[in-house]
Amino acid sequence: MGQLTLHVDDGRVRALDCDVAVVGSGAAGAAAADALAEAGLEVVVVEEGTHLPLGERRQELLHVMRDHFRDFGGTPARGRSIIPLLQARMVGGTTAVNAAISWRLPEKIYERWAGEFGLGGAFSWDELQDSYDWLDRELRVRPVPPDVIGGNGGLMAKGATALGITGRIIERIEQGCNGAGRCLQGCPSGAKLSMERSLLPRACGRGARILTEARATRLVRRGDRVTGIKGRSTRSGRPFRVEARRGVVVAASATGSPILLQRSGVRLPALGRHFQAHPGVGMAGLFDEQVRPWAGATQSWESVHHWDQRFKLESLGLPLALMVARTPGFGAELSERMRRVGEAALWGIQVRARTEGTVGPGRLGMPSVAYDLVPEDLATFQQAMRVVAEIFFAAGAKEVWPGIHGLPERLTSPDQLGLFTDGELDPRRAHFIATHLFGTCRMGADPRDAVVDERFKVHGLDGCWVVDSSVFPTNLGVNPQHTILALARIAGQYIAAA
Amino acid sequence: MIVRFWTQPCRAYRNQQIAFLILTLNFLIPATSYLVAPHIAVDQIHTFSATVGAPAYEATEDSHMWRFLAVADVMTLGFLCLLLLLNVRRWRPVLLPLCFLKGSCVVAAAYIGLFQYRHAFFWLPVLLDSVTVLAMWFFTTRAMRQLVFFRDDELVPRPSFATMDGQPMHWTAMERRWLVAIAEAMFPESAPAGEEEGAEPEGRALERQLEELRRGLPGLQRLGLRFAVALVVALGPRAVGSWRPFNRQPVEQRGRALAALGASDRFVVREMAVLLKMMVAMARELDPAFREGLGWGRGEPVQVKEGVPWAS
Repeated sequence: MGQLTLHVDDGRVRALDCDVAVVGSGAAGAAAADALAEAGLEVVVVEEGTHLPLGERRQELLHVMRDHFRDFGGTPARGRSIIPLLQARMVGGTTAVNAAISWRLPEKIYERWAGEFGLGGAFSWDELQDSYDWLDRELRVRPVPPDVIGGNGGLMAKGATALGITGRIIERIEQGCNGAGRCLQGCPSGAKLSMERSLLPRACGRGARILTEARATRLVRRGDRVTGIKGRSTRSGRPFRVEARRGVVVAASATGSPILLQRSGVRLPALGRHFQAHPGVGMAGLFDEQVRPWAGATQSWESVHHWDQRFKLESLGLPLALMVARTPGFGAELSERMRRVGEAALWGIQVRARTEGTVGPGRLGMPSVAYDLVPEDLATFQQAMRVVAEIFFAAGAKEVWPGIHGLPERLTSPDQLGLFTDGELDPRRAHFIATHLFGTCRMGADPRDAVVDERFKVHGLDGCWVVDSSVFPTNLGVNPQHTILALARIAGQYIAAA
Repeated sequence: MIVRFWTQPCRAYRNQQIAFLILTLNFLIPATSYLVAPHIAVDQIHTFSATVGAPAYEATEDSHMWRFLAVADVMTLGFLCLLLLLNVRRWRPVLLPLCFLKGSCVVAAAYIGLFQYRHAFFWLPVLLDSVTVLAMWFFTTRAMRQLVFFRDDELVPRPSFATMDGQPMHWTAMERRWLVAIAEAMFPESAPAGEEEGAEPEGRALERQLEELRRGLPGLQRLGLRFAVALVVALGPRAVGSWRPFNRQPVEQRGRALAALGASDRFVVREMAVLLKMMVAMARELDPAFREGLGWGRGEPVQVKEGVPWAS
């Protein structure tokens, strides 16, 4: 047990066979593959991206975005503004380039899923907790160690505490983090237990194989039964085929999974609809002390104090180039501010948005995503930005950089906080991003309103399951990786027993 | 060459090449014939009419008018097909006018020949031209869908008008100078590169970083960068009340122009300025001296943990 078994699809691999083929090697694909391999099934994981070994991980954003992010980190969601969707394309999926934050599904969300969407029979609360417990042990979930909390998170905790805003040290999936602050570029020390460092090697130790640089383009169907995958090598362009005796598990993300099903002739009314996300923005502030935003855990402190207001706050360390983009000014003014970048802190907001959108196949190989923030969500952002600015000032910031067109580039006094909530926010005036994507293959008993049934099987198709966050009927309000892992593991166990 | 052409990995490209070679010749040869031997076309109409048993074709085609119109029309069709034959990726936008032009032939042949003159011969151009339009659309779009997965150097024949690094869109020397001018103005006096003895001069280091950026960007982002550069160069001088070209402005003035565009009320203008800020930062970040100059990332060295946790 313990090493990845990789096949690079350089054109020589033309056909593989197995019991179950898994499309995608991110959190969902890895957890499902591991559960299936544990049950003794022969598994092939098909991954479009490459494997990024330790020692080859670079910190420069250009290389990271080009080699490991889908569409250069800019799959656009179209609305009045363009919101980039951040998704990785590599072995381990987005787990390789996120901050490995671990949250269990909030009970209120579960109750909504069970009540409003009738998913109580799909997986019980206890079953879910058992799955989390197993993951906590296997993936060494623990709070950020005190020595790597870093100035960025530390100041956020200080400011929030001064205002009576509750929060916590972030719990993450890692073992031995030394605070390199490079989670988003792929952990250079290997401490983060992203999927290519944890569940995928575990699955490979039980016989699973990973076909890399292989894009699944279509499911192979015999009538209503799915029997494999057809695809193309992203390296050589040659076609390949995977025959799957038991069927195919789709875990290609909330954008990839519905498109793969649509391209394979699945016609269900809910497919590609009800797209949800956690849109977010970052806000920076300048202190009179060294913050060293590059040092320490990428994300170390968070707050769900404003759960009822539908937003969550996090400290966030960004790569240099993104930090520059968030720094106000151009030319000499920008240079001057960048010289003090070591005194800047950056914190993020993620909103449990009510906005829904759609996903479908687009041009130029990118998904077509329509997602236009509704006024209620924009008002939530205004409120959240005001709170973050307030925390900055409470923590001792001399300047806050709102990053909103129409507001002063620098706020220097808490008296200016009212500017955030004056009038309505035009989405084109802020720079949003969206992570944590959900809902495009949502789960439910009724095929008129759902794509997969309570056992993760696609309605009307045999031998085809979707196990990623696209089956979540709503967003969560907290980071979803742990819930994706837990549910995909449960799904893998269902499929193995089917 | 023929074997490599036939067995190349991108079959759709191969089929498009065959189809457009036929189409190109199918237009260029008749266009030449209308110019130098117009009787061939008229004779063909008579032969066709006799073959299918249609009434004699009695319209006079002696005028010179139809000849130059036909030459211009058919030569244009041939030229557009030639562009798609030489580099379908680069010249894909001509597909729409090409199909429109040929589609107009279908409509004209049906209206003039079948509804006004009422002669069976005109069924031939209506049918053939309709099939031609469909073929143009089918082979081009099918090839474009597959070409996403291929670099130019994997294709046989290699597309023309492409640079040696396989980039389908060549940047002109002027565009490169513009990008350098923007990058210089974005972070003036920011990096200490070149101060040490034997170090690369700052200007050359910047050009190299920008070149690496340009080459490193995927096609769509490269197009976005190009658009942003053109927009800033076009609007920058007027944003600071000057008619002098952007790259001939002093660095401080260029910086002020960037700031003015970044504060523009027009969403696209503002976004392009911010995009350039990030792109230039990505290029500068490639230089360790730039990072060090900002004090970025000074910390404990990272200890690499080989293997996976369970291995031990």
